[in-house]
Amino acid sequence: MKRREFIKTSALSGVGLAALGGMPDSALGADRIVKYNKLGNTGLEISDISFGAGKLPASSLVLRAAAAGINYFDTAPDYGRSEDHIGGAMARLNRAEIILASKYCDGRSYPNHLPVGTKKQKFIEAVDTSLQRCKTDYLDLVFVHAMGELSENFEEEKQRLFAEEMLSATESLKKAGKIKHLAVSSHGPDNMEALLLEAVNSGYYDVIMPAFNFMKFPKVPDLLKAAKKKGVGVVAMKTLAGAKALELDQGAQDFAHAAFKWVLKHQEVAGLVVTMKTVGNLYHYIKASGQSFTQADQRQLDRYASRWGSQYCRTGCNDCGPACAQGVQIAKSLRHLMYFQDYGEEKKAIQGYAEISPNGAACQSCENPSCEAACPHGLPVKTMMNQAHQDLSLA
Amino acid sequence: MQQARSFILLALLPLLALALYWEGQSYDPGLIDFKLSSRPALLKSFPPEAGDLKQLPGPRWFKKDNLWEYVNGHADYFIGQGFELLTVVEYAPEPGSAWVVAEVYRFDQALAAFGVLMDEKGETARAIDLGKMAFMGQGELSFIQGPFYAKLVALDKRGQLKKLAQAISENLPQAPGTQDLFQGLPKLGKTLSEGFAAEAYRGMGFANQALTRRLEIEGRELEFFLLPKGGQKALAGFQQYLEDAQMKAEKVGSRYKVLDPFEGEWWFWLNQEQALGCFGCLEKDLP
Repeated sequence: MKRREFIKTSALSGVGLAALGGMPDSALGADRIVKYNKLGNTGLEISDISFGAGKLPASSLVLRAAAAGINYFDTAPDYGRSEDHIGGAMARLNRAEIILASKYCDGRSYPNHLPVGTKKQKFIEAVDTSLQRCKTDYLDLVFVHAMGELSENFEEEKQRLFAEEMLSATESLKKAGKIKHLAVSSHGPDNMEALLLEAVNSGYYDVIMPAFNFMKFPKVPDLLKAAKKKGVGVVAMKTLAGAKALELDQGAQDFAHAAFKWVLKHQEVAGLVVTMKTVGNLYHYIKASGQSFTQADQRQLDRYASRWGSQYCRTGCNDCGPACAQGVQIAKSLRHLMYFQDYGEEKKAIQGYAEISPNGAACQSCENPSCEAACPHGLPVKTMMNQAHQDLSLA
Repeated sequence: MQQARSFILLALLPLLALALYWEGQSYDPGLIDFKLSSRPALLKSFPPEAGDLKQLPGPRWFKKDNLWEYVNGHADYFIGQGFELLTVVEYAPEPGSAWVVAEVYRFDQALAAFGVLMDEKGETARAIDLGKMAFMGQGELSFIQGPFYAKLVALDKRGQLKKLAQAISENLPQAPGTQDLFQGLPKLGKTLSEGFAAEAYRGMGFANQALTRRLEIEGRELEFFLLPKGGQKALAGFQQYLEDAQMKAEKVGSRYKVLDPFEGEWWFWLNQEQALGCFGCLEKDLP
């Protein structure tokens, strides 16, 4: 969105049935989850297509998903009534067959991640409240949520990753049997790969959940290899590379399957979570379970990339920066454009851009955009910087 | 005489140039004023005073093009709901820091204002009698009246919200179309709650902007839902939903009875442009 526009889813198929007490076969859709993968060294096996419970509208959707073989459910206290709806379904689920993940968060509206300085008791209370809402006595995973979202400063967010009070609370919760594993998630926008790598190497975390798709995050494969080496499980999110898929003229349905299969072809990825708001979403998405990535899928993704790829500056790349004779902070400027366009943080983006020097103002009269030759993704960097300046400077 | 006038005008030129230079030097793009050129009539709805609170100077108003300046990170949501205009007025007992900030949003329809109220009210807010519907939480009061959504926030604990909200409510236009949003929903037994789902009510992709009423009758709980417009489209969506979910519906008169293993038995029917349904209903409960 431009400012001006602003202005204007075998062998294991029985698992799902086992997960659901007394549900008749006639209840099942035509398609089911057919593949489950080991989640690092946790001893858990999760459905390759798993359930993102943000914006969860009803308990019945959880029951339908479980009946279709999905066994991993990702929720959070700040996902509205998501935990309540999971709790509403719990009495009809076989808890031992369900993997339930929630977050160290407080409050009901996103984002409410517990910041650095939070006392141990608050972390414990957050989990206790999640357990009450979900009507269960343990969480399989509890996440330190959205690393890289509270601060663009690496060291500040690293403190949240290793906060003593949080780690102490985690230890106590594990001893009490209220949680099984500690996990960490990140969808950026800042330092995602570096922060998750710290988590992987620390030994404190059993699972990581990075944003990962065929368009962005080129450094994630290195992170995946490190996780594999350490036995840390990987669950991917943000696999659809943005909602622009909905705007494809043709094959929009196949696009989701192609995007999922691309992520799942990475053997380090145990599964992916995708938000399922409707019954239609559920039965469509699970068709990708256990499917191989094909040439046709690649063509589908290529079509998407050719239409939208020229708009994505890959997080953490910055190959263009050293090429600019004027020292323009290109990556930082374009990150603020992302805040504006993708995160809805218009004011933060404009304020942050104003502090960047030199910024896109220097690009306006540039006649030698060496940045474009340096970009490994072939982005029209100068045009994008001009756009950033237009949107963010209000010039 | 004309010569003297020309001389004065010429003498003023350096001053004019200086003023233009100063304006240019102090130019800050962040301070561009997008605000409306004229005061919106909606400002008249804010009383000069209410109880101990007096209106502070400097009311502000915002349209779609600059709403993000005030509702940072949340503007798209409001615009998506049909936002048209926001007016903001501050109150305090005497000039100085505001004790209360009063915001009135105008939407394109009453249903949109209702949807925003249901989304925005805090989990712990309690219903109070004000406007068409109102809720009061910790230091916050919100209500709707026609296409208007008002939100009052107390920045100072001493700020009394209810009296001010009452005065604003009395001043707001009694717009046509302020009919009972829930009037199309059956009222049987005891009403437990009324609600709104902006999208995908109970995971049904076709059921957007659904009004709901949960009732208790003869010891049973049931829930009616109403889609206020687009009945035929909703019917097509309902049939697609059944196909997606591999479920069947039995036609009983003009209604459909769905045998749903996850929701139990439920009903769906059209009433002119409206689509209605009920979860937990027996046939005898249907209107």
